[in-house]
Amino acid sequence: VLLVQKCRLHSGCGGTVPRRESRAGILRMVPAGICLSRRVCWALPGFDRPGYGESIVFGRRMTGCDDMGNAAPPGYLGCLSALAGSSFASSREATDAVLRLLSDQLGMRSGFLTRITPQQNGNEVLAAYNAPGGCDVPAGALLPLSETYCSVISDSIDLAPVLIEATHTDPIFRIHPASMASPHIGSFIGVPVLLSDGSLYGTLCAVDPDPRTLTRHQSDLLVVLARLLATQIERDDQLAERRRVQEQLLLQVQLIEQVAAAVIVTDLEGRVTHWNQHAERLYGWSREEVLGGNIGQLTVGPAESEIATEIMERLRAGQSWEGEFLATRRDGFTFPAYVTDTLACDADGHPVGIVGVSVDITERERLLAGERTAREEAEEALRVRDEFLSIASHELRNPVSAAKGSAQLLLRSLRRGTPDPERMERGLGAIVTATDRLAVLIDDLLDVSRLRSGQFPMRKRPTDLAALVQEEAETGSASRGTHCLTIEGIAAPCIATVDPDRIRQVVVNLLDNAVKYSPGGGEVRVLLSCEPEGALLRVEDQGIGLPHGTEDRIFEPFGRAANATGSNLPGMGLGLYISRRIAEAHGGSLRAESAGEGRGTTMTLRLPLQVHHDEGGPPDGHRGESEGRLGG
Amino acid sequence: VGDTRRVLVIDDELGIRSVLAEALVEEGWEVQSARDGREALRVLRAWRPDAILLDMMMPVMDGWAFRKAQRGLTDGLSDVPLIVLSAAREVAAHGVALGAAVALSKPFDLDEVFEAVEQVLHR
Repeated sequence: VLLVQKCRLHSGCGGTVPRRESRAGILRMVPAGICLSRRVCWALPGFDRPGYGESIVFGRRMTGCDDMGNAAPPGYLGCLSALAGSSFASSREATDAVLRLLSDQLGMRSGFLTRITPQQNGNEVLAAYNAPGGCDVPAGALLPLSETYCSVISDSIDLAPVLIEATHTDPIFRIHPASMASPHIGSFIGVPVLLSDGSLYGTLCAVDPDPRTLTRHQSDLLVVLARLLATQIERDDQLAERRRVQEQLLLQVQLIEQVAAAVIVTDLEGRVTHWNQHAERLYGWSREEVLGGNIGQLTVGPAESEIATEIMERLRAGQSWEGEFLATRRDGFTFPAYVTDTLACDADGHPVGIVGVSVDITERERLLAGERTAREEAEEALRVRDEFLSIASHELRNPVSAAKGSAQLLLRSLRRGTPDPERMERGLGAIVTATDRLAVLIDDLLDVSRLRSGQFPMRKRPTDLAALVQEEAETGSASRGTHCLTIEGIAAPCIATVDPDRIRQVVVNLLDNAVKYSPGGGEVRVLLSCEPEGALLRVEDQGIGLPHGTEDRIFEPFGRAANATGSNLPGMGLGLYISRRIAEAHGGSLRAESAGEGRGTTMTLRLPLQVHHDEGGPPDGHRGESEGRLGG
Repeated sequence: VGDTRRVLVIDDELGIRSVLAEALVEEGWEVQSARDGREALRVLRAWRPDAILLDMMMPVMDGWAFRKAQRGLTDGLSDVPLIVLSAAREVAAHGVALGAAVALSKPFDLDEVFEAVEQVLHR
């Protein structure tokens, strides 16, 4: 029959233990390394680890403490070793177990682990065990170091343990500040908790309200427990530090993985050792494919091999490289990348690898290029406008000068009282010519200005082009008898939906030019043909023609052929520019052809018969009449 | 050269050439005119003026090109004083750049022109 008694178990043990069981039975039942009841300790085979101090010698088999009596040295040493070999849920739990053991074994009612911070005069109670009737200083209390007996330890040169068996009668310590601060402490024993580097961490101490006499074994036990705790504390610190490092490492790995840049690490020979997610996306190679592969063959196209060599040389020389680089993807396509290559070094500063960070700057390049183009276009527009204003100003000032000069001449002769009628007529005629030119120029300039700003209204309606051409040919400058005029194709009406005023302007311009640029006379041939696909008006002259290559120049603002200006033929060079824009606003075209200088010119105007809505008229053009605006 | 003072008028604008010629002749000067720089250089081969009235913007050979060519002429023709007549807004600066004695902007007063020519001839 087993007598089972509920035992008070120490330090994380739990459950019931047979009171009277054979040792073998207990050995079998009790988990390894557990300290049992208040006074009964068992140690188990295998707890023979040396190293807890000179006074501790472990045998292969430990005997237990006796059932009733004081703990025999092998007994509490066995307890100690049991404690050392126990596994606690936390080091806090282990500390509490140590303090309880301490209190038990020393017969002192309070045990503390404290941490000393001499600079702050601090003595913090990290863990406390207070048996009934103890000192009741709780864990977490922060005491002034100078008012505790622990200061005796921290103040001593060799950090020696301190035992005060009767504080109030001790000749030295009864006047210690701690005796004033804590009159209820009757005895004190404390040992330093020393870390492996010899520095003082704090103390392990026990106090009791009454005086106590302690055996050598008991004080030894305290020393051993302090070492045990120091080991525990350092291990805790190491664990915390390792956890912190691991967390930081994990964070950095996550950062590297999630950063919106390709991060590639290679060894010094360029073999890939790390390849983040963005690198997979950017270069098209998966991590598995590239690990161990050569970075040069993976991301560098043949065109960039030279710069890649330069980068490697810089890195070998211990420098970093930063710049733009045409990187190559897996599929062979290239993209502009901004690359930063730096050396990765070990703790001793020796290079161990290369960290390359690359970002795709295609979009940035595109934006920059767009910006550049826009700026260039704006500058060009400004330049064209300035040139236009400059030429316009010149063109306006010349006829004004001529008119003013003529008027001043006439005034002078009037003042002299010699008004010669022939001269008067010549002068006034010059003024009229100049002002006519000014009027035409102003109209043209206004047209050009409206064309450029897109404010050129078109009022399109069905118009008989045959009638329009005939009317202008028969009444305009071409009909003045200096030239032989032939008109063809106007017998039948040719109805087109156009702005009649604007088209008349074009026809007049073409006929006037034909006459003007054939100063020697000759034939002016006007030919209109009306086909379903559109109307075609040709105006041919036998005049000065166009120098080769100027067929388009004459349609630019103020663009005149050299032989026109050279022959002193008047004109500002705006008429054809305006005419072509009008033709284009109707969905048509205006072109010039010439076999060369002196060989005549043929102007060809093409106009569609129907309104093309996408040429500017509203989609729902009303009653055959539509109004559009010419885009500049 | 004799007593008759000579002025060469270079301008592509017929109206301006005729007004200037008529006015200057009336004031007693001998006048030749040219419609561009190249024609003016042809005139200078046979006829040495005491002053040149020069327009800037002209077809074929403009005022700048003419001045450059004039500087290369011999027999003192490179020193014939210039009076620049220009419709450009920067006329004064152009005058300085060309080394002209006077720069007049268009439209001009005939009196200004007479004054400029007198000033150049009496220097």
